[in-house]
Amino acid sequence: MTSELSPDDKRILERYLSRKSAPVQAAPKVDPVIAQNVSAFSIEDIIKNGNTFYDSKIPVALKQALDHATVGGIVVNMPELIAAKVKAAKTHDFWKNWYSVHTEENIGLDKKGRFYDKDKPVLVIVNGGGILTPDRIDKAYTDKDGMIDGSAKYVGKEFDNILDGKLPDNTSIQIYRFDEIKKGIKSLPHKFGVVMPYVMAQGTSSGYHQKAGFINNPLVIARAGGIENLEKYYDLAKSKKGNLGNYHPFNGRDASVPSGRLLFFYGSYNGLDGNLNLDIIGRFVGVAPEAQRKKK
Amino acid sequence: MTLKDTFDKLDAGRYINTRELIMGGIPYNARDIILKAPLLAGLNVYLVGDTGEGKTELANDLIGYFGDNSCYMMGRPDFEPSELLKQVNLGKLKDVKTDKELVELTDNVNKMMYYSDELNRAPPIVQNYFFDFMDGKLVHNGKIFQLGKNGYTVGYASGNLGNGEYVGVSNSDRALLDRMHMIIKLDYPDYCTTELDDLRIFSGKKNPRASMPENKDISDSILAMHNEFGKRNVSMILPLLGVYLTKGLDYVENVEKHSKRALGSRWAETEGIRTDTDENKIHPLSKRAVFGGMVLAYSLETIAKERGQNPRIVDLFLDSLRLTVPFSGVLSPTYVDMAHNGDAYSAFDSLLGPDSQNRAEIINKVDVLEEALLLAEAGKKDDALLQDIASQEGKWMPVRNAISTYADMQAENPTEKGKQIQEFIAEAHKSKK
Repeated sequence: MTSELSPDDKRILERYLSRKSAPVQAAPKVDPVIAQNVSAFSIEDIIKNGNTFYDSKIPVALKQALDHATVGGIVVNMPELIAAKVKAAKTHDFWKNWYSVHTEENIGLDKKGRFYDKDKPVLVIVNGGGILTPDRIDKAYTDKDGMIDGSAKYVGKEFDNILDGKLPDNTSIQIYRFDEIKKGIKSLPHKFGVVMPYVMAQGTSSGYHQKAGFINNPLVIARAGGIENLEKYYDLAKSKKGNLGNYHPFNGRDASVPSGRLLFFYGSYNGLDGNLNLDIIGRFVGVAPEAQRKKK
Repeated sequence: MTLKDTFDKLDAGRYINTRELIMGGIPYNARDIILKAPLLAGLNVYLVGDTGEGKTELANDLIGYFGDNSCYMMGRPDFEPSELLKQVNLGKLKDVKTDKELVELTDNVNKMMYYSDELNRAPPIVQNYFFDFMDGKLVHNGKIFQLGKNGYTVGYASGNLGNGEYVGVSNSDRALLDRMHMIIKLDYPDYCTTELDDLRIFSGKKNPRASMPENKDISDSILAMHNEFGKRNVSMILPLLGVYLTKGLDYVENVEKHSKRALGSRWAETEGIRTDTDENKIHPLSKRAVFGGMVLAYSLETIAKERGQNPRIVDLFLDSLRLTVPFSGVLSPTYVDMAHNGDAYSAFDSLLGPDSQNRAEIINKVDVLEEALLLAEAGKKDDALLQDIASQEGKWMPVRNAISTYADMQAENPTEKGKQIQEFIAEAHKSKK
């Protein structure tokens, strides 16, 4: 090993120092108008007052659930359903059925480098409603080339806007980096996003996991909105052999064409699933605003 | 004599193969890879493939370059180990009584180049002797004798298809193969002669037998070249990637102990092992295989720099592994057979080749590894960098641990370079203020 700094050593140190001194890339500032549907519902509300909306077409089921929830209610997302299952009795329907959740997974390029490196692919998980409204899903079905690999193909600024935290209805949500979510965010709202490097999501196994592989899995953590309920959920949901599933379609999938789909959640040890196409059946849980009034 | 002079001399010979290979982003020809790089670094080479691919011509070139400093052995079914010993006069070993006799004996084992032709035709016990020679040693009467001149030996072996089986590809002992730093299938499309080479070969000779050696002995130049090579500074990034390849690739996610080595020879078929990633496809590399790949990369870098070219060292290293790994027993045979129709190079490419997930992952980490390594040299750690290297248990955690431990070690015993790094960082902070 040389005892003097080579030009390469100096170049590496300069790169390091320049990166360290660059302003920390904070999550994009969001408009002061926070989206409606901020969760004022407790997990008990979801367990006791959640209604199921099923249809052989996922946009129809989602529309029914949204209509039930109206502006003041919610359609349950993945972190909420995980939390609900952890609290619910094993006899509850949540443990018997599969559900689709109001959580979408979008992939595309972060062209501005808002969160990670410029032009690198990212996965953006949006909870509580993002790009994929019932109308937008229908549009994906009917447009020529509206679907790609079983997901809705995004056009124009749809994906860029979601990275900026802007929703199609002109409201805004907070997008958190994966490391922030992993550290834990106090009082997450119903609507929020998680962004992670796509390569990180691709690097996770799609299939069954044992405990450590499941609760430390970055994609599971991002889907669950943190680590809080994961260990309990694993212990309750695992198979006799200790398996619990987390599925995704990302291996070998190109993210340069932005696209998105909704997540599913199984009652059994099959766990979390993002590997189902968007043109499929749906079963959502909607909670109406009355749930809160009942509580009061 | 300069390195370039010696390289030029090594361009002269009977073996013709101008096949071009891109490694580390720059072009090399087959002679660079099969001859110059191994001779520069002292790497053993096992040449396998069908008859008529020029292996014997290559042997003759090598014998010409080394003259009396070479030892040629022909593998035959009736080969007796004693015959091998006779060639280096080991029969005298037990009778040595005086220093003079010992010197005489030592002279006899001072060969620099050992070439074993048609190795596969020798009985396994004799092959073991050959492999010891490849290791630069000879075990006799319970003693280990170092072979070579001034610490330099290089071994070449070849194997023809013959009866349909040849050692090194289908049925050989992994430990033996591991001693051959490079294993090259000369009849594989990427490494075989070009059509133009064939035209030159066929039009240039009327005798179907391989020509006898006629090159001038340049063994002293080769030794000088090797010594010069040994003085060159090397990058620490490759040893760090060596940790990933030997320890990181050992990791399995869902199986107790999280280790392929702990699972033994049936690791690839173990219940719970991931089949959607490389977990069930590649075993961690041996230290010898990594070392072989590193040294080959450094020697190819030296050759390129003598031509004024600057290859990308990490890519060059990973490309070099294609010449050390595919037949070294680390690829799952089921994967090679089922997914790649028995083509080990194709299997390697999908796991560590330029378009593989592993390659992308490694290249993506190079910047943070370089930075973390320099900080570690100065006894410093940056948690964000370490987090970028590995944020959870998995294939990269051993690399993170290696850097972290190295930083602790350097903090206790700072080196001159470490102090200079600290000064560089302090200066940068000062000038910023």
